[in-house]
Amino acid sequence: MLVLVILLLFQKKNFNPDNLRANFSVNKSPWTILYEKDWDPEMIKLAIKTQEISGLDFAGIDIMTSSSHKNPMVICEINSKVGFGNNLIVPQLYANYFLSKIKHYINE
Amino acid sequence: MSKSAYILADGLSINHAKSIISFTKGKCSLIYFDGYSWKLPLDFNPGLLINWGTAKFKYSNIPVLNKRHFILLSYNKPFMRLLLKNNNIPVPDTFINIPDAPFPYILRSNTHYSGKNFFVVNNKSELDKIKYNYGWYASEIYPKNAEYRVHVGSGNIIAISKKKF
Repeated sequence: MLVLVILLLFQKKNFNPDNLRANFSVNKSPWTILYEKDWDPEMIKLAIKTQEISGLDFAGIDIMTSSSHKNPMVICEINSKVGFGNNLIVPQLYANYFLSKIKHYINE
Repeated sequence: MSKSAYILADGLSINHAKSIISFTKGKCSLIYFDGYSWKLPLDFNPGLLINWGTAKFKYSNIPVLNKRHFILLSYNKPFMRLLLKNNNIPVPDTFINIPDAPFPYILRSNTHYSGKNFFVVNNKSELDKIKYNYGWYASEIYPKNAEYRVHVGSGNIIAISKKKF
């Protein structure tokens, strides 16, 4: 009962009808790294083409998929300031990419 | 003096840059902007600059990954969407002229990050309650099943992450 009261009070405190911000796109849920075997070839093609058009050498490209829209896959946005949360695999993979570039530009 | 590689970062991205640098076996260092100036090492001798999303550092005649002007363009979200659309890349319908957008839609500022300045607008009375400025844009609500972040570097996939809902 006490827990229920606390929950209700918490909801009331945070409820603001004037606040229309309903951010169901960017939530606190973590990203899961996909194994290479699970990569979608169409998504890869789309992301690489997007990176080329953007002029950026590297980027985090946000892609959404839908089973009910005329476009089953769309680019949501391109991030040059790429976030990866607390993930430790992604920074390692970026480091490998940068090391290959360092080798090319500095140690060639 | 031998040349070195540096990652340029500012704000919250400094921690991301540090995380990457920890895996570069001492071959890359951090240069960061502390809000007033760039903190450069005394032996600064760049052979490669890697811009982790910051366009503040000015340079010349140095190889750079992610040039300043392309980063500045990428900050402008509606511009990038229209650029992609003109290159036959599918994007959600995007309206720079807000009154042209059919309800319901998502209203956002032209430069945004981390879910800031994000509103779902169902009708005109909801729109009237939002203080938005020139440069904001409206986007159709795309009925997504899943969302991915594809990390791409020089035409190759670095990693693909899927967002949990």
